[in-house]
Amino acid sequence: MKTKIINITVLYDGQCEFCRQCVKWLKGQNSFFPIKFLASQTGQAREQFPELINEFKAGRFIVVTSNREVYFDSKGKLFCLYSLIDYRNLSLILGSPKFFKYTNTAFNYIAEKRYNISSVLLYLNRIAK
Amino acid sequence: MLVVTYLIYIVVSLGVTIWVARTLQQHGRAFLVNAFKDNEGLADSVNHLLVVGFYLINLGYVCITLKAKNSPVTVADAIELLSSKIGIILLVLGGMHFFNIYVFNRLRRSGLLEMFEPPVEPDQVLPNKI
Repeated sequence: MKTKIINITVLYDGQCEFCRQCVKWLKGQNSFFPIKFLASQTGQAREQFPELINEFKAGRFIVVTSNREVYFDSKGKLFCLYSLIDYRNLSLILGSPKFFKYTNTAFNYIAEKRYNISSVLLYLNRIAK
Repeated sequence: MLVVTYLIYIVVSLGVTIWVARTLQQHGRAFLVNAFKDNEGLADSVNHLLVVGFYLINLGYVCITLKAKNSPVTVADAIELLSSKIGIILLVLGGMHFFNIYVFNRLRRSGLLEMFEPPVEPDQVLPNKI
């Protein structure tokens, strides 16, 4: 039996508009435990997780739990869904051995296209203003 | 004839409502005890509140639909009127019953969801800070 997770920290690319929008969405959801968000470019992220400095690359999405377990990219995104009350069920389906390879492909595709998605989001933001 | 029809309607509606509510209370308890992680006090309390809501909605509906547009003249008219009114009450009760089962199940599922382990294994475990 694993130790209970008390909180998680999400390290994201603060220069990516798509990532910022995802974080904004995550902040609006109800979660099973508190979620802390840190842009990986900040000094605070480097100070708190010096072991992960080499992983702080553009577009990387990292989740660190209170048990010091680290989940990268697709697994990180899946873990975020697992943290949310309304999406835990979905995360269990998407993360099941049958579906994970498709989930991984889909998340990687979105991550690859994040700049295109970011520019669309920025354009939509500009129109909205 | 009308008063007798009303009386039969009230007795049958009340009987069916009480029977369904009791069934719900008895068999829904197990779902709730499971959902609230064996906290029997809380499960009983929620169960009781759900049943009270069930009674209020159903009895309210029975009262509202009591009045008949045309008063029955013959016994056949009375049986037809009773059958349509009780039929509607049974459908409403059925709907409410399934809604309650849905609520019980949702509560149970949300209680169980909290206990699930993460769907994926971590990529790395950081050493503990000293």
